[in-house]
Amino acid sequence: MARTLKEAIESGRFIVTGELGPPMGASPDLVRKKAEHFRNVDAVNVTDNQSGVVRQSSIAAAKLLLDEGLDPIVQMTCRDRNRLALQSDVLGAAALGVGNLLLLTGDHMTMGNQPEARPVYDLDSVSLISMVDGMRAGRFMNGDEIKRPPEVMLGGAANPFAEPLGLRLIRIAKKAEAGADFIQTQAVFDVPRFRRWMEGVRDLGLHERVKVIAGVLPVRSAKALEYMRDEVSGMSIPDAAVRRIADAAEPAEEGVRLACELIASLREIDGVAGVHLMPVMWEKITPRIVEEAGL
Amino acid sequence: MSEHSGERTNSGVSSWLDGYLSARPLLERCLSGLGLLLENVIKIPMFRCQRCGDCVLSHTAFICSQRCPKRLRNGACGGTRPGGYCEVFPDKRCIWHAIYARSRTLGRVPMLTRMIPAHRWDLEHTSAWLNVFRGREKAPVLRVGSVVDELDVGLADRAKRETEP
Repeated sequence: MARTLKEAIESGRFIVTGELGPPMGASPDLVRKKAEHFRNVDAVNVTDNQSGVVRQSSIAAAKLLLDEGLDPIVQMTCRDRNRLALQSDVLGAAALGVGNLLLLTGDHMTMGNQPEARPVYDLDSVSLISMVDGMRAGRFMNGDEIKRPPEVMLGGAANPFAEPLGLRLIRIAKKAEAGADFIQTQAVFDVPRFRRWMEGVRDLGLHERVKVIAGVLPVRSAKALEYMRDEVSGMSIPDAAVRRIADAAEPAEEGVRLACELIASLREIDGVAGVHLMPVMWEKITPRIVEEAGL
Repeated sequence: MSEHSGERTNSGVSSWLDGYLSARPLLERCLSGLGLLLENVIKIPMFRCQRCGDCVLSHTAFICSQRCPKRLRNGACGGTRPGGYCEVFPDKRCIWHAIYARSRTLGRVPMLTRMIPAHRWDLEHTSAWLNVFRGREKAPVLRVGSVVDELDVGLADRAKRETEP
């Protein structure tokens, strides 16, 4: 039987997920080729116009992955679609065999390359999770019955490095309450700070209600790390990590080592149910990280 | 109605008023116009009301959440910049940070633990006060009670720890 996220969650083992960004073109071949990198993970995220840059539809790319025998997690944002389109997409994705959704508010289009587009944001991630949970239970958002409810695992995102902590924890609790089965976090480089956030998650018992899957972003250059530290909001990157990659003779190798060390530290934290590997533009390193980290 | 839709059963008076006004468009327009005028004059200067017609001011410490560029009703988003600045307008403070801060000051944090239902866009730019009387507004959903209580306790501890040096 092929590995799936649902099966990983139900078995209680350490979860491993990967991530794939669909191409900025109509070719199906790139997705099919990249599918080979994800043979040893439980499921693969497929991003949805990530950072407000147009890419192939996440449901379409997910179908290509399904055909390759993988278990995609379709990311859906509130930025581009209203509730009618979102409900329709949920039904369509389920009809194609998609078993997992990651429901997000979505980066604003001002972050992307077409800032003149109209922001939709009909719903936010909490009400989106609630809506799809209702669909699972057989009801459209207006209460009408759904004859064949979609069967999907639902996830939300969390940022362990954003302040204030109390508000962030409230939001995760709301997502858990709204029906989320799992939470994927932003990439972790600052383990002590992540531990502090996990303490709060445990205090509220949230780790028992949702599976917390910590993000790990393998980097292959110091420039990539510096870019994230300076330009991407919601990331906490210690200078030591940047220096380490910058001073290394082979930055890519050092990046792999760093990623494996981060994974080892995260595994030891009580309440962490898995890791989410998201090597930006470097999907092919995924199988090696999985192997070397002993996942 | 399901707890997911957040609807509460209309009181008899609300239902009656809704029906009464729906059948009398001219009167409805007059009352609506009057309501909007009063709201605009009071709520815009005081709260920078965005005229969404679906007011949840009392649940967000009397700071209008619809000032958020993403119109979040359950904020903040994951894109908040360091220092609490908005992802979209980097020179502005995140409105949900302000809502949380004031909620803590006023002791209204438990109200933030409730899911505020999605905005009804058919009420946009209509009189929120009239909508309340007509029972057209959905109250925030009170989820499983114990979760709210647990959150309360956990958050009080957390808030205490956050203020410690």
